[in-house]
Amino acid sequence: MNSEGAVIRALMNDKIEDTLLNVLQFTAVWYVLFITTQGVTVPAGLFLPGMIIGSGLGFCIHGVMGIINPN
Amino acid sequence: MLDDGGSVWHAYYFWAGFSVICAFFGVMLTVYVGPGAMGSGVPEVMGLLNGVRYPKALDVATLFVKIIGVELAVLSNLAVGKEGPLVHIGAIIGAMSPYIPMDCFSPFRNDSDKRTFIAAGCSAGISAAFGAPIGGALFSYEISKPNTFWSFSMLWRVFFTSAMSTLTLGLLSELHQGIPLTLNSAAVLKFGEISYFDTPMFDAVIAIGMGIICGVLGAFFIYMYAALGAIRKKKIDTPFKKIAEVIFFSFISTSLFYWLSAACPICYPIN
Repeated sequence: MNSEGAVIRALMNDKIEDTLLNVLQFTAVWYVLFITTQGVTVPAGLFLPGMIIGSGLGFCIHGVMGIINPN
Repeated sequence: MLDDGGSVWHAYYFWAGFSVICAFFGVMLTVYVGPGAMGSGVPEVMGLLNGVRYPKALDVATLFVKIIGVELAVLSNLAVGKEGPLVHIGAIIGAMSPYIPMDCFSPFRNDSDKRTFIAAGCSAGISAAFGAPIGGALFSYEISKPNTFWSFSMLWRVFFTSAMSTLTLGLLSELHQGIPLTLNSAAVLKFGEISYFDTPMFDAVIAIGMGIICGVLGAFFIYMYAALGAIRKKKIDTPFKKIAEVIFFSFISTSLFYWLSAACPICYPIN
């Protein structure tokens, strides 16, 4: 919902906790939209959606590691 | 949040309407004014640098539609980024710069020098997008498969263009923020401050796993993109269908982002 840079900045924020499922959902929605939207007839880049999906995945892996090893 | 007397719905109507209007104007521009501006433009620049002659990708209409249309596309909440078209914009400006009507530019009006200018413009676009002059020069080096026309003396020229682009962007953005001549912020996209700490060796394993996951997702994206592109080529052939498709995707994206955000009950401040 925010601009893309703000999304990545928000994902790098330390204060965000307990939102693993939400971020997973967000990443999945972005990925599906990314796949289906590419190729429509507007000028459109694919750097930033890729970065958003990657940062969302990284956040999810961070959360999973936190669950496996709380230290 | 979902039951405060309909104001959520009013915001939704306004936002969806705004997105759809932006999508409509963007797709009208692209379909009727500059069809060469469709997509991200990186494949076009790649082809141009490797010897494909594609004049539609380098004319003034494409430049105009690219600049206006990418803003409209980002405003219309489509899942697209704004950094790819900067490469194309830079490449068009680079390809046009030998044709400035002055005498000192006439020696550059040949094919090889024009490609140098295109490479320089594309690296300037990348470095303006991410504030990364070295990354911009390397990107330009990578997408022009270097055995075709790249020469050693081009590298520092391209790097100089990227550095000037980053510097100009930094000066302008500081002017915009009201702190001129401090040279601290020089990127469209900034991640803010990151605190670093020691990384244990175990992180390498996680990094390998993340790389594998992202690679699989990317491969799946390429496969789906090719399949959907074939379907698009067959089914969506008239301008009306193209316009309807963009508006449909804009509406779907806006609705998904809006209602998922509304359904998520937690909110965090951004720094």
